[in-house]
Amino acid sequence: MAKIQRQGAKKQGTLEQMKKGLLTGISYIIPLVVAGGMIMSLALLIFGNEGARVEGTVGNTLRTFGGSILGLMVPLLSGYIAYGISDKAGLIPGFAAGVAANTINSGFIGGIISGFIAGYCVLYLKKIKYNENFAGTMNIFVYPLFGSLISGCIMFFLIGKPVALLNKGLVSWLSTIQGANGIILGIIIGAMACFDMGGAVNKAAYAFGLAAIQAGNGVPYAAFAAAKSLPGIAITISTLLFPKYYEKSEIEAGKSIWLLGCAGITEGAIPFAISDPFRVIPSMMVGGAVAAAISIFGGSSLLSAGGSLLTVPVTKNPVNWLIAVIAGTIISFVILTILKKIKYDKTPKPEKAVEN
Amino acid sequence: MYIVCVTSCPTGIAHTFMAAANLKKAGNKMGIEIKIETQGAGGTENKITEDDLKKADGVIIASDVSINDAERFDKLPVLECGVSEAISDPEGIIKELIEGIDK
Repeated sequence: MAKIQRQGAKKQGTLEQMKKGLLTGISYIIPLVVAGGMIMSLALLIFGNEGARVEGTVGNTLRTFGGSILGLMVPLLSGYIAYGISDKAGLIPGFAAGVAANTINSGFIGGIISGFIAGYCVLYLKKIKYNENFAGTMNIFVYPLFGSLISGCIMFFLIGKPVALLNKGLVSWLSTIQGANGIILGIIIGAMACFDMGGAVNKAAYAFGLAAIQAGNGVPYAAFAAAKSLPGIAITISTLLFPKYYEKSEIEAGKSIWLLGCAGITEGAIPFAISDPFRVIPSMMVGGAVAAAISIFGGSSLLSAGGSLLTVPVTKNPVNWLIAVIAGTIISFVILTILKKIKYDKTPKPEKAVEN
Repeated sequence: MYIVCVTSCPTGIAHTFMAAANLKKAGNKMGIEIKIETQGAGGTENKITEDDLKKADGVIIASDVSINDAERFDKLPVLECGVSEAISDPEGIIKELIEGIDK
C-alpha cells in the first residue's frame, strides 16, 4: 500500500498492531457471546437450574448447546486476532492455536496469547522469499500447516503451562471478589465502560468481562452492563428536563438515545461526549462507577453478553442490578445537569451583552 | 477528485456509521466526490467496486480493527486513521489525504 506518512504520527508499531489485532478478535466474538450466553441463560431460566441438567431433556440439550457455542469463543478469538495481524493466512493457524489453548485450559488469556503467537508466526513465515511459481503452495500448504504446527507447539510445550496457571489464578481470584475488593473492581470497570462510550477503553473492560464469563463468572460482566446502559438514559433525562442547557440538535438526539441505552448501547452518547467532553465524560464515569460497584456488591451476575434491560430476565439478582442502573443514572444525570448549568450561567446572554 | 473510504469499529453498530456520515458530510461541504464503504456488524455495505477503484485518487481507512480486502487498495495512496478521528475531524483527515496525494 502506498501509505501516506501522517505528520506527528508514530509509525505503525508492534503495539499498535497488537491492539488492532485484539480489537479485531473481540469484534468477531461479540455476536458469539450473545448467542451462546443467551441460549444457555434462557435454558437455565426456563427449565430451572436443576431441570436444565437432567440428561436427555430439552433444557439440558439447550444448555449444553449454548455452552458449546461459548466453547468456540477462545478459538474464534484467537483466529481473528491472528487474522487482524497477518490477514487471511493467519486465520486458520489462529483457530488451531486457539484449539490448543482450549485443550490446555488456558481460557480467554490463552486465546489472546495464542492469537498473537499465530499471527506473528504467519507474519514471519510470509517473509520467507520464494519463487513466484510457489505462491499457491505457500498460501495453501506452507502457511496453514507450519503456522498451525509451530504456534500449536509453542502453546502446548512452551507457554501453555504458565498461561494455564495464570488463567487458574484469574478464575480463583474472580471467585473471591466480594466486599471492598469487589467495589474497587466495580469502580474501575464502570469508569472504563463510560470513558469512551464504546471505544477502546470500554472494550478493554468488556474483554475482562468476557474473560470472566469464559471462566464461568458473570459478576464482572453484569457490572459492566450496568455501567454501559446508563449514559444514554441519563442524557435523555437531562435534555428532557433541562432543555435550555442544550442545543436544539442535542435535544432531538436526546429523544432517541435512551432507547439505545436500554439496549445496552453506549454509543448513542458519543455526540454529546464529543461536543462537550469535559462535562459529559466525567459525569458518566462517576455514575458508571457507582452502578458497577452496586452491581458487584449485590452479587448480580450475567453470563450472556449484550447485557442491558433486555437481559434482566437472565440476570442473577436482577433487582440489585436494576437498583445499580437507576442509582448510577440518577448520579450521572445530576452531575451532568449541574455541570451544564454552570456552563450555561457562565455563557453571556445576548440581552446582558446589550446592557453592558 | 474522487475519494473512497472504509470505516470500521469493533462493535460495528455506531462508530462505523457515524464516521461514514461525517466523512460524507465533510466531503460534500468541500465539494469532493466521496464514497464510503462501511464494514459494520452486519457486514460490508456500499461496497467499493472495481470501477470506483479505477476512478479513485486516494483512500481513507478509518478503522480500529483490521478491515477486509485491504489489498485492493495496494496501488492507491492510503491514509489510515482511527475511527474516532474521522468522527471528530473529518475535514482535517480529507485535507491531509489531499496534501498527501499532491506530494
